Amino acid sequence: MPATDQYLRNIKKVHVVFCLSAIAFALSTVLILYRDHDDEWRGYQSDFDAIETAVARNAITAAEVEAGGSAEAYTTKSLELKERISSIDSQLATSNKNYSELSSTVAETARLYDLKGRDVRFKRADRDVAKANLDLGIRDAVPADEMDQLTKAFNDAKSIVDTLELEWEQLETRYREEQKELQEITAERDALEAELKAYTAQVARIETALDDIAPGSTLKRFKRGFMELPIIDGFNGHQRVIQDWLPELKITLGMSKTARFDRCRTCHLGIDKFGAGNVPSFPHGETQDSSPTEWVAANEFPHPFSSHPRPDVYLTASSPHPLPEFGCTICHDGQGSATSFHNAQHGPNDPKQAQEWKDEFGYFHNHFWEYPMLPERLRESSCLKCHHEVIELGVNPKFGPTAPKAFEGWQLIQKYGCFGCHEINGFDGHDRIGPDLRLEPTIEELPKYASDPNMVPGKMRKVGPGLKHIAQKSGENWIAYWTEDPQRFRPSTRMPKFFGLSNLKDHAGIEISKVELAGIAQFLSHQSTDIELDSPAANYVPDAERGKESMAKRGCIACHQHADPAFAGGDADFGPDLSLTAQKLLPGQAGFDWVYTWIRDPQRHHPRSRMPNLFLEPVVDAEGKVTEDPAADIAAFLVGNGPKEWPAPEFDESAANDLAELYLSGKLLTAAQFKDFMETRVFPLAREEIKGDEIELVFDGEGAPDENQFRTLMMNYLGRRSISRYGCYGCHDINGFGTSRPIGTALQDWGRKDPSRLALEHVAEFLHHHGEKDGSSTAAFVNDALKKATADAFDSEEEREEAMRTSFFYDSLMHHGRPGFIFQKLRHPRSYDYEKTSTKTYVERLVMPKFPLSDDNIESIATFVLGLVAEPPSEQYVYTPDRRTEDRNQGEILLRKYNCISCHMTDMHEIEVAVSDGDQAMEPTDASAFHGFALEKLLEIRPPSEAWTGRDHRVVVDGEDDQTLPTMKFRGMLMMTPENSPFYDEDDPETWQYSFTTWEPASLTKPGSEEDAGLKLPGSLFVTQQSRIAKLKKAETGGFAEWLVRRSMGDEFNPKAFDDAWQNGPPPLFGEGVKVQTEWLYRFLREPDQIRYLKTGLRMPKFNMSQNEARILANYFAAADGAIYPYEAIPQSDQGYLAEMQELFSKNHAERASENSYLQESWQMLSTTLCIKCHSVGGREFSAAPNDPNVTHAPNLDRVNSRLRPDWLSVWVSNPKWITPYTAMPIPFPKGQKQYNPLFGADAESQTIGVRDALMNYYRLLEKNTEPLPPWRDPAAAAAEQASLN
Amino acid sequence: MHHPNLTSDVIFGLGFLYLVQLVMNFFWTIRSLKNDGHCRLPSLLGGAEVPVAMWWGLYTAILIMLTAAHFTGYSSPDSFQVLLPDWFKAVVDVSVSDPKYFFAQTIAVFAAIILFRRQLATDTAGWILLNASTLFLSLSLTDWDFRQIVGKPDNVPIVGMLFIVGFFTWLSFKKANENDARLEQGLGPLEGENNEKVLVWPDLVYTELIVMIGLTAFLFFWGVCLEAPLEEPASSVKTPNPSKAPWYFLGLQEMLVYYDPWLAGVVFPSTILGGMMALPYIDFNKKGNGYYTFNERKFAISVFLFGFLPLWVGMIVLGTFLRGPNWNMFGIYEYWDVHKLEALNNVNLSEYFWLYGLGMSMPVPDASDSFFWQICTIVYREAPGILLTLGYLLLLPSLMAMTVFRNFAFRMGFFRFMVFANLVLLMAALPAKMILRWAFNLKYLVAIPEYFINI
Repeated sequence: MPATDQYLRNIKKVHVVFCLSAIAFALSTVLILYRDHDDEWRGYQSDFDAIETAVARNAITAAEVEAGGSAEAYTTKSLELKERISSIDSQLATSNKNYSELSSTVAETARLYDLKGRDVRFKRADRDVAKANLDLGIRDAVPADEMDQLTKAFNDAKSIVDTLELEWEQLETRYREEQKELQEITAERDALEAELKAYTAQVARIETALDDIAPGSTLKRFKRGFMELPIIDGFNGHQRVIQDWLPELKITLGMSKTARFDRCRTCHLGIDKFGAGNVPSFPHGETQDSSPTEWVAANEFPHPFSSHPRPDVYLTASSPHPLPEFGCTICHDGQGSATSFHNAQHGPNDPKQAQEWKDEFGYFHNHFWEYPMLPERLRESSCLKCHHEVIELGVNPKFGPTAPKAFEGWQLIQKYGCFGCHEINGFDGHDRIGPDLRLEPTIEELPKYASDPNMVPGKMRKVGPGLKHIAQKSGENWIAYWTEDPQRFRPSTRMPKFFGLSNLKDHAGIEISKVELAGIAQFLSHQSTDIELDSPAANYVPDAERGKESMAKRGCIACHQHADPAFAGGDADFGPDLSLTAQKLLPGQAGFDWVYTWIRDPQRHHPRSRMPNLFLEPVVDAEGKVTEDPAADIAAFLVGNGPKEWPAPEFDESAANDLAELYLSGKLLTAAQFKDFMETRVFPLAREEIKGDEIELVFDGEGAPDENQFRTLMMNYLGRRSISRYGCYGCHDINGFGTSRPIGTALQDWGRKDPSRLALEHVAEFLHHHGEKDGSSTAAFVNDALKKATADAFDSEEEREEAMRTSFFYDSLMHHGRPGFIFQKLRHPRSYDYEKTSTKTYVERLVMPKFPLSDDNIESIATFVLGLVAEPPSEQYVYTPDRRTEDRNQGEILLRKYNCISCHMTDMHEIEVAVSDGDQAMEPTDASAFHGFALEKLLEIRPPSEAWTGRDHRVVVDGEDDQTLPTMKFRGMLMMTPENSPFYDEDDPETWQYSFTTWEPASLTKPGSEEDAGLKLPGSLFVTQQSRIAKLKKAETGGFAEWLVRRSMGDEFNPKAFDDAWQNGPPPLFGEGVKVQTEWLYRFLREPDQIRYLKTGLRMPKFNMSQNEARILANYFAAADGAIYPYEAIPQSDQGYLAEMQELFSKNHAERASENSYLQESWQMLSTTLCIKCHSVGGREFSAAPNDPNVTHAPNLDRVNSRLRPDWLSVWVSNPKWITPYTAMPIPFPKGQKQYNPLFGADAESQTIGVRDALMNYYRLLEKNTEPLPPWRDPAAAAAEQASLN
Repeated sequence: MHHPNLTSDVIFGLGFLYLVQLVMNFFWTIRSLKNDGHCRLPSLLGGAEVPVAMWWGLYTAILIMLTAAHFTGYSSPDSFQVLLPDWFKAVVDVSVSDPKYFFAQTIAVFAAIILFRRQLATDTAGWILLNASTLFLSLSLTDWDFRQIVGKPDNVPIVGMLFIVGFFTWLSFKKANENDARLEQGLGPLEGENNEKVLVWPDLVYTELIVMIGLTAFLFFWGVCLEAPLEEPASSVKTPNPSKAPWYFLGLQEMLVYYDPWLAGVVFPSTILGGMMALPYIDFNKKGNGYYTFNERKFAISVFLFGFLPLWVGMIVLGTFLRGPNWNMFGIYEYWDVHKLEALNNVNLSEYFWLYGLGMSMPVPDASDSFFWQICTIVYREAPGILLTLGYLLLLPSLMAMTVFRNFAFRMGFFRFMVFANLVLLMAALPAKMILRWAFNLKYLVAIPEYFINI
C-alpha cells in the first residue's frame, strides 16, 4: 500500500515533544557543566585571593607609613609632587616655545628611528636566509656557478643591512642629542619625577602585585571574571589545580606502581608560604572569625589557608624535605590526586571531628581507598617509611624530636621486648625495608648465620633474665607464684600477665591454668643447669648497712630501684626493682651465694647480660685479710630478712590429663595410643622419633616409670609445652629452646595488613558490655564521650584527649580498622576470644599477654607498628645520614641500650631567661684574664652558641608592673634550685632563686648587631628568679649522677659540697668527643681501667659490649662534638714541632736553654710540687696526704698522651673550669702570675704550653728521666721552697 | 556492627517515592472514574453500588497519609513506624535465600504468567501489580540490608530492568490476548487492520531522534545523580568478596555453581547464541508472524519465556540480590556477613556408583601406566556418568521423537529435530543439574579433574 499524505502521528505534538526533549537535553548538559565546574577548591582560591588582598593592603599602608610617617602624609606628599610636576608641565607647554618645538622634533625623530628599526629587522631576516642558503650550499658542495650566486646573494643582503644599520645608528645619535637638549629645559621636572618614583617605589611595587590578585580597573576585573567562567577557565584562567608531580615517589595502586600527583596545594594555598627566616606567612590558628580580613588582622589562619608549622623540617628548600621532591602524601597519605575534601580522604582525629566534617564537607569513611590520610594522632607513623633507624626522629640535635610518638613507640617495643614474639624484620635479603627489631641469634643459631651471607642477624637482646640456671636462684613455688601474676609480686615489672585473663575465666580455663603454672615452674627447675657459685672469704662477716651504702655509691641505683628510704628519689627502671629480691631467693647460703656471684660476675650467669661488671673487688689488707667485700655487703643487704615461703602450686590431676590429651591425642598420638600411654605410662615413640616437646615424656629408666616418675615426666612435658605455646623463650633464655622461632605474627608489614584478615570475632559484643578499666562498656563510654564533646563538657583538655582517644580507636575498630585492632589488642589482648571459649579448646585460645601499658603508651606503639609498611621508597628518599650523623645516631641507640645516660649527662640543662640591663646573665666574661691561645683553642673546640633567642618573655611579679623582656639561652648545670635553696620562700614563688653555671661558651652579641657584646665563657655563674625563667629544659640524662650529688650534698645547697659531690660521681660527658682520643675511648669501653679513685668507690664498670658497639660508641662522642675521628694527629710529639719549640725556647729563654732542653724544662714544670700534689707522675705513686679525705686523687698522668686530645689539653691546663666548672683542679699557671722561677722565666703561658707538651711526650721524657722523682714533701716545706724560688 | 534501619535522610527520600505513587494513583483514580464503572459493596458494608474508582481513591488517600508522614516525621527516625514487620522479613528471607525455593518460585511465577495470562494482562491487574511492586520496594527500602543491595549504584539498572521486563511481558500478553480473542472470533490480528505504510521522515527518523535525545539526557541526569560506583584499585592479591560479573552476565555466573567453567562459560553461552540464530530455521510454525499471539505459538513462546524469565532474568536477580560474600545465599533483608558458612558436601556420580553403590574403591589411573591405559581407567571410572550423558543427548531425542514430540519429529525431519531436541535438552540441562544437586548433592556427572573435564 502506498504511503499516504497523512503522518502517523500528529506532527505538531511531535514538535512539542521534540522541543521538550531538546530542553531536557540542554538542561542535562548545563547540569554536567555546572557539576564539573562546581569545585570546592575554587571557593578556597577566591578566599585566599581575599586573604592576599588584605595582606597586600596592609602592606601598602605599612609602606606608606614607612615612606611618609603616616598614610595621610604619604598621600599629601605624593599628590604635592604630582601637582608640582604637572604645573611645571603646563608652564613649559604654555610659556616655553622652544620646548614645544623641541619636543615635537624629538617625537618625530623617535618615529623615524622606530620606522628604520623595522626596516633593519626585515633586512636582517633576508640576510640570515641568504647566509643559511650559503651554508647549505657549502655543505652540499653545489656547483661553482650556483655557489657564486649564493655568495652574491648573501653579500648583497649583507651590504643592505650594513647600510641600514648605519642609518639607524645615526638616527639614534640624533635622537639622543635632541633629547639631551630637551632635558636641559625639563631638568627640574625630571628631578621631581625621579623623586616621586623613589618615594612611591615600595608602594607601587605592592600595588602592582595587588593588581594581579584584585584588579583595580573595571576592564581587568571583567577579564578576570570572564576567565573564571566554565570552559573559558580552561584557557589559562587564574584559578587552577596546582599539582606537584613526583615521578620517583611512586604510589602502589592495586597491582601497579605509578607516579604520585599531589594536588593538595590547590586548596592548601598558604602551606608553602614562608617569610624571611622561615617564619610561616600564614600561621595557623583555630580562629572563630569567618572573614579573610579578620584572619589577617589577627594573623591567625584556619585550614586550608595556613602555612606548614615546621618550615625548618618540611617544604622549604633548606629543609630536609623540600616540597618539589617530597610533595605531601608521602608523609600525610590520602589521595593526592583528589581535588575535593572528601576525595582527598582526610582522616579525622576523633569521631567528633568526623561528625563535624560530615556536616561541613559530607565526609564519610571510605574503605575503598587504601591510604586514607593519617589522623593527627597517628601522623608520625609515616616517618618510618624512610627513617628506618628511628633514633633520629627522637634525638636530633638540629631539629629536636620530630616524631616523638613514633620514637616512644619504638622505645616501648624495645622496653617490653615485643620482638621476642613478633619479629620485625627490617631486611628483605640485604635490602632495607623498614625498622629492624629482631632478636640476636642464640648460640645455637650462630652457625646458621655464619654460613649464610644473605642473612642479616638481629641485634636485640632478650628483655627478660636468662632462666638457664634459675634453679640455683629460686624455688618452683616462687616461679609459679610469679608467673601467675608478675605484677602482684613486683608492680613495676615489665613482664606481662598471661594468666587469669578474660579468656581463662571459665572452669577449664581456671583449672588448666593451674596445671600450666605448676608445669612451667617444674620444667624451668628441671631444665636448669648449675654454674659455679662464689662465696665471700670464709671468715668475712658481711655488713648489710655498709652494703646499703655501697649500693647507693657503687652505681646500683643507676639502673635499679629499692624501696628502702636510703634510695628515695632514685627512680631508674632499667633493671628490676630490688626491694623484694630476697623473697624470691632460695633459702640460706644458696640464695646468698647466688646474689653474691651475680653481683661479682654477671656474665657467669648470663653471657649476654646487660648488667655490667662493677669491679666490686674485695679490699684486702696487708696481711691478706679481706677488710671489706662490697659485693658480699650488698648481697647481705639484699638478702636481708631472707626468703619467703611460697605456696606450692595446686592443681587437679584430671585437668593435667585433660591438657595432655589436648596436646597429644589426635596429634602426635592417636586417641587409642594416648589412652594406652596413660595406662601403661610408656610413651609409644622412641626418643629419636620425636622432634618436639614430647621428648620430655620419654622415660630414661628401666621399664615403665612408676606413678610419681610418670607424674614428673608429664608435668615437665606440660610445662615445656606451655612454654612453647606462650613463647616464653622470646624474652628468656631457656635450655632446649635455642632454635625456636618467635610465636607471634611478624610485624614488619603490619601497617598494610589487609583489614579483612584481622580476626575481630566478637569484639564488638565485648566492647558493648565490657572494655573499660572498671569493667564498664566501652561502647557506652564512647557514646557518652561524643555527647560530652558535642556539648564541650569536659573538665580538662587531658580528659577530653583521653576520651577522644578511646573514641577514635573504638570507631576505627568498628570500621575494621588496623588502628582500632591493635589498640584493643594491647588494651585487652584476650577480648578477641570473647564468647569464643565455648567453641575453642584450651590450647586454641589466644595467648597474647597483657602488658602494663597506659592508653598513651598503646597509642605510641600503634603509631610505630602502623608505620611498619615495608614499602621503602626509592633509594634517594630513604634517610641515609652521612658517616658522622650515622655514628651519632647509632651511638644514641647504644647510650640507651647500655643505660650509659643514667650515670653520665650527655646533654646539659638548658635555661632560657628573661634579662634586663645589669643582669648577671648578660655580663660577658673578662677574656683578658686568660691566656689568649687557650681561649682561641677553647672557641675552636667548643664554638660559642648564640645566647639571644629572639624571643620575648613576659615577667609577672605580684606588686610590680609586668614587663616583657628579651630572653637568653644557656646550656650548663643547674645548681641552686628552690628545692635545695636556703632562701626558699614558699609564699612568693616568683622570687624563687636559681643559680646556673654555663658549660659552653655563649656569644652575647645580638644577631645582626655590629657591636661585639663579648662572650660568656663556660663556668660563668649567674642567679635568676623563677619569674624570669621562660623555659627550663632539664637534662634527660645523668639522673643517677644528680641523685648521687643530691644524696651526698644533702638537702641544702652548698657550693663546696656540690662540687665535691660531682667530683666523686660519674662525670658528665658533655664535650667528651673533643676531650678524648677515639682510639683510647674504644679500648677503654672494652676494658675500662680505673682513671680516678673516687671517694664513693665508683668506677666505670665493664659492659658486655661487642667490638662493634664499642667502636660505634667511641665514634659517637667524636661525631656528636664535631671532633676529628677516628684518627687524629698529635703534632706535639712530632720531631718538627719539638725542634721548632726548642728553637723558640733557645730564643726566648736563652738563660734556661743553656741548662735544659725544651722538653726537659717542660718535664721539670710537670714535676713541680704543683702537679704531683694530686697526680701520680713519673712512676711515683701518688701519695699526697694519703689519709686526708679532702684531697682528691687525680688521675695518673701516664695515660694522658694516649687518652687526651692536645687541643683540649691546652684548654684544660690553662683553665680547667672552662671544661668542668666543678673540678678540683686549680688554674695551674694563671695569666700574669710569675711562678716557678726560673722555669720558662716564670712565664705562665710558656709554662702552660710546656706542661702540655711534656704530657704529650710523657714516655719519651720518662726514658730520659729514669731517676724517680723526689718523694712528696710537706706542703709547708714545698711552699717555703717555692718562696725561695720566687 | 549495628546499623539503624531508618535515618532521617532515608525517611525523607522515601517521601518522594510515595509522592510519585500518589500522583500516579491520583491520575489512575480519575481514569478509573471514567472507565471502570461501578461495583457493589459487600453486604456487610451495606451493599451499595459504588464507583470502582472509590477503591483507588481510598488507596490514594492512604498514599497521601504515607507521603505526609514521611515528609513530617523524618526528624525522629527511632520512633518512625512505617516499617516492614520483622516476621514479614523473616518469611521473605527464608523463602528466597535457598536456591531451591527461589527457583521453585520463579517457575511458579512463570507458570502463573502462562496460566493466568488472561486475568493478569489487563489494565487494572497490571496497575495493581505495578502498585504492589512499588509499594514493596518502598517498604523494603526501610531495611538497612535491602538498601545496601538495591541502593548500590551498580544494581540500580537491575531494579529498572525488572520493571521493564515486567512491563513488556505484560504488554505482549495484553496484545496477544486481544489478538487471540479476535482469532477465536475468526477476525484477523489487530496488526493486520492498519497496515498502511508510513513515512520514514518524520514518522520513523524523527521519532528515533527524539528518543535518542531523550535517552541521552536521561543518561546524563543519571550519571550526575548517581556517582560512579568506584571501588578500590584492582589487585590480584585482594579480590572483592563477592566477586561479581557485570549484571548482565550474572545468569552465566550462576551456572558456574552447577557446571564447570568450560561448560558454563564456553559451551552454554555459545549454544545460547548459536541456538538463537538457529531458531528461524527450526521454527516450522508459520503463524504468529508480525502480530502478537499466544495461542498460535504456545510451545515456542512458553519455551522461550522459560529460558528467559526463570533461567536468565531469574538467575540475574539471584546473582545480584541474593548471592553475597563467599557466594553464599542471603535473604534480601539479611546482613551480608562474611562469616556465614554453608556446608558444601557434594559428591560425584562416580563416587556414588563406586563407593556407595558397589562398595568398592574407585579405579585410580596408575601414573606408571601408558597414557592410553590411564585414559581407559578414567573412562572406566566415569563410565556411569558418560553413559548417562550420552544417553541424555543421543538416546533421549529419539525417545522424544517417538513419544511426545512425534508431531514435531515428523514435520521437522531428522536433522532439524535433532538440533531442536539437543537445544531443548541443553536448556533443560541447567534445571536438571540444579535438581540433581539439591536432591542428591550431586557434584558432577562426569568428573575428570585430571584433564579439567567435568560435566
